[in-house]
Amino acid sequence: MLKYMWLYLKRRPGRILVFIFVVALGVSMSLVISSIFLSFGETRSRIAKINESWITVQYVSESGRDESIDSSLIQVFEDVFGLSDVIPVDIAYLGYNLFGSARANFPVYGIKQTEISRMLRESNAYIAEGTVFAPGTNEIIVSDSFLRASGLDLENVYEEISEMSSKGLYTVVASLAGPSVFGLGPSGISRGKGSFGFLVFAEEGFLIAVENELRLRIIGEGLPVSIEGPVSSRETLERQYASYYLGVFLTNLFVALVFIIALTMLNSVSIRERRKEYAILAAIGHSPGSLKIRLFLESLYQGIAGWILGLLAGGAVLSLFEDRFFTPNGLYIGDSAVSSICTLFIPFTTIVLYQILIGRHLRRDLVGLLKSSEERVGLLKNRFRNVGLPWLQFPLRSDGYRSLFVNIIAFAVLLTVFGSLLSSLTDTVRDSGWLFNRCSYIQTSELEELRLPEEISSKSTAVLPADLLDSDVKLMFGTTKLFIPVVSTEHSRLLSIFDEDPAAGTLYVSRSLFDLIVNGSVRGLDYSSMEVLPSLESHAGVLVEDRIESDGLLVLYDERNLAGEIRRFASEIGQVEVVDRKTFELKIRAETQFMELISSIIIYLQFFVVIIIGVVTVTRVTLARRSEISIRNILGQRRDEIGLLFFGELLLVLLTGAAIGYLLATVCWQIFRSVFLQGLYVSSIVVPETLFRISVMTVIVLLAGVITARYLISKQDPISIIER
Amino acid sequence: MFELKEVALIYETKKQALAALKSTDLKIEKGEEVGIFGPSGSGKSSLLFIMSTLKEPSRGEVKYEGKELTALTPSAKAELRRKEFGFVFQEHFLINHLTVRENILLPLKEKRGARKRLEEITTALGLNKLLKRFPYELSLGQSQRVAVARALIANPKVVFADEPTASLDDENGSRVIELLKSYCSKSGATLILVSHSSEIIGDFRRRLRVENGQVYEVGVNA
Ligand SMILES: Nc1ncnc2c1ncn2[C@@H]1O[C@H](COP(=O)(O)OP(=O)(O)OP(=O)(O)O)[C@@H](O)[C@H]1O
Ligand SMILES: [Mg+2]
Repeated sequence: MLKYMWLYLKRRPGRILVFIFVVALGVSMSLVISSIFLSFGETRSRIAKINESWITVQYVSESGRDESIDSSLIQVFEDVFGLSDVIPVDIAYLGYNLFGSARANFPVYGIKQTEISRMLRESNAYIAEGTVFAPGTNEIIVSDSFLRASGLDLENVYEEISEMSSKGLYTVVASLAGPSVFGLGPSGISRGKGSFGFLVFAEEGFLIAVENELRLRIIGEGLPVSIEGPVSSRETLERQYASYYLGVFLTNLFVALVFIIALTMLNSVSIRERRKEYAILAAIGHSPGSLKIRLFLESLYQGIAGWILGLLAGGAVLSLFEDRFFTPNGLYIGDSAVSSICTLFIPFTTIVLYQILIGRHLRRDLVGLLKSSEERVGLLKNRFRNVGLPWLQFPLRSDGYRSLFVNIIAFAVLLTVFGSLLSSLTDTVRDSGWLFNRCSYIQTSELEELRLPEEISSKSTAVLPADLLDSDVKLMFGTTKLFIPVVSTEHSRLLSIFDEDPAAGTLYVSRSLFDLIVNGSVRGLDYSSMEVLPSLESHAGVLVEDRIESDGLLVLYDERNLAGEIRRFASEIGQVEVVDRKTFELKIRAETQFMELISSIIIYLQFFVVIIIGVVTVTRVTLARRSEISIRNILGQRRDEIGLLFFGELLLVLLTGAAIGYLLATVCWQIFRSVFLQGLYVSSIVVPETLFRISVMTVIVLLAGVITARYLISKQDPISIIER
Repeated sequence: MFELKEVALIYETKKQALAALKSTDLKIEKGEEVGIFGPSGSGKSSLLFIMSTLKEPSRGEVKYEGKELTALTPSAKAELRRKEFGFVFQEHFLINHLTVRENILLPLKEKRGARKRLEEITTALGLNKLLKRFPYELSLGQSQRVAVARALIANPKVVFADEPTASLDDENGSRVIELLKSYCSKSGATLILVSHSSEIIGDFRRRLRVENGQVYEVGVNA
């Protein structure tokens, strides 16, 4: 048994190594990709983890602590708990971008200096470096992961209440190390405007009970406060990360599929090549069962070798990424044990498929196997014997081309589906600003009347009072913000998107936004009825109301550079928010960074794999036809004639396969999208990059085939071509 | 027609060099009917390969109609094989994914007008009913007859046949030999036929025995 395998390894090391290499590549890729995904979850869960150290009871106030809420709360605490104790805090929420995917917010607790040691003890953290903050300053201590992430440059820090980043808002005097991300600063840190409340500590093991009890009591009292503790943090995490986990799952599934298909292609070519060997073994008395076991073990060893190699390689890549990517972006690498085990899916499924393939071959009669004749069953039975198209007849009839043909179709399908799926993810964010290509929304913070200067209003096509709704749209990975202008019936015709007078209370939306809303992927919209308006594209919507309490203006224009002027004007008068094209451009840059990383990893990875497999297949197919090359040469066909023949056949097979695959995938993708991914938006059916990738793949595979054929033909004499 | 001078073929394997054909001198005239026999592994096929330009001799020179064969370019050799030679091999060398008909027509560059010739040959060989089949759907004997048909379709001037009767029963075997012979005598083509048994080529006008890479004239039948 072992000896047999050793012999095979000695004879065909290339094949086994290619197989192991592809398994390893797949395993390491899915490990790395899921680690990247999961690190977002891990990082956020470390931020949420602080709620497992204590319970935060807080309320928002514009003018410092609210005496009456405070005293009611203290009453509640005193009433109920001898087990816990409480300190007053005010909280600033700082936010930073997690590699552009979404904002991560963490609390900085304003406390008395004397409470520092208590806080550190409860949260299992310690001061890794630096000094303690001084009372009455803006000095803070924050987790080192956050510091590493933003490189101590606080420009990227947002103070959540004012939603802006301001330089010199805080001075970091020390860094914290520990299991969770948070910060400490002097009391008064939210400067009279922000979150206030209490931290409730409890004896080991009582925290959950205390949280539940507090919740009951405080809700009973009807106090306008929120409570966060271990229970609610778990709930938040589950809600927040549902889409992340779907993302991890889908991405991994797709990656795994690419590799499983690729490996099965390799296996099927290898079975084809080894048919004779199986037949001879069977003929000299090996039962199909024992042959199957033998081949099963063979593929098992290869699979396990590839898996182990893949885990090692993936681990190496991850540790390389850790310094270059994770740490600089404030991300933690999560525990990869689960994802490591999940990667077993690739070799496991491949082995199972291999067994099925082998079973089909071994069930055939020995003579057929020995003659290496093509099995004509089911769908392919005699299919190509009398194809009506003579030019397609020859290539399709030859055994090898058929596997190449199927390969190319599968690969074109993969490239197309991936291309469409991934570009749809970024298209959605990019095009959600479609409506704002031709208008800007200006909002004042005060209720004062906003007057546009003459040079702006003269260049604009219309100016109308409007409000702006923002809502969250759930995308496949994370969420994005959608802005929907609210206009009055009186002014709505100015928008020139309506054919008839719009009805008040109606939300007019584009087709894809309609789908999204129906699916419940959009939150925070309030309307009485909804209608699809064909003149709206992408994810655009307009809400029409009878009257609006407008504190903003919608400026419509044809000249795009007016947007810049409006921005300049807004910043001159200060305190004004503007939503226009630029808003979305900035948003895209921030929000799609992560998706684009993942997309390009997947796209290039599978592109790479597809090409490797394509080249391997075409080489083997061509090598398998060496006897034909030789016969043709013996019968007097010149070498260049044979070369041309192979070139033509390959070209035909590849182009037809690629075209069929592309069309098939486009149709499947449209169906898939309308059934499973309603509202997912792709800006075009033909993604140019996809076509480009398919062509590159076709050309490379074609070249590989032609080169192999040339290599064979260049042999000294026709007899030695066969004798290889 | 053929003139071999001190021709040798040496197979270099990793461990040793094996002389499949030792220094051989041989002359074959146009229209001759040459039978070559000898034990297995003696070098018969090797001799055939060299004469038919399928292998380069390691030493010596091979002339065909006064032309030095070894000096020809690969395409010139291919051209020569297509125009003047016909082959039947020990292993019949049919292309698996082409039908019998397509296999037979393979040596023809211009396939139009070949219908009559095809019918003639396939009738003579009893292949009429098999034309649409694929080689793996044939018995060995049938395959061999297809190979014979393919060898004769282009009206070659020389027919090389390596064990054309190996997998045929006596009756079919002698039919094939007769067909080859009658084709050659009618068209004045040269026939060079190899067989392990001297019986089959017993009535050939010229017979050569190959042993251990050496070629001996056995004598000319009257
Ligand atoms: N590619 C090769 N490499 C090494 N030795 C070879 C090769 N081909 C043939 N031989 C050797 O050359 C010798 C002559 O072979 P050849 O095929 O000419 O014999 P043959 O007379 O045709 O035998 P048979 O009647 O069995 O067909 C044999 O000993 C064979 O082992
Ligand atoms: Mg021989």
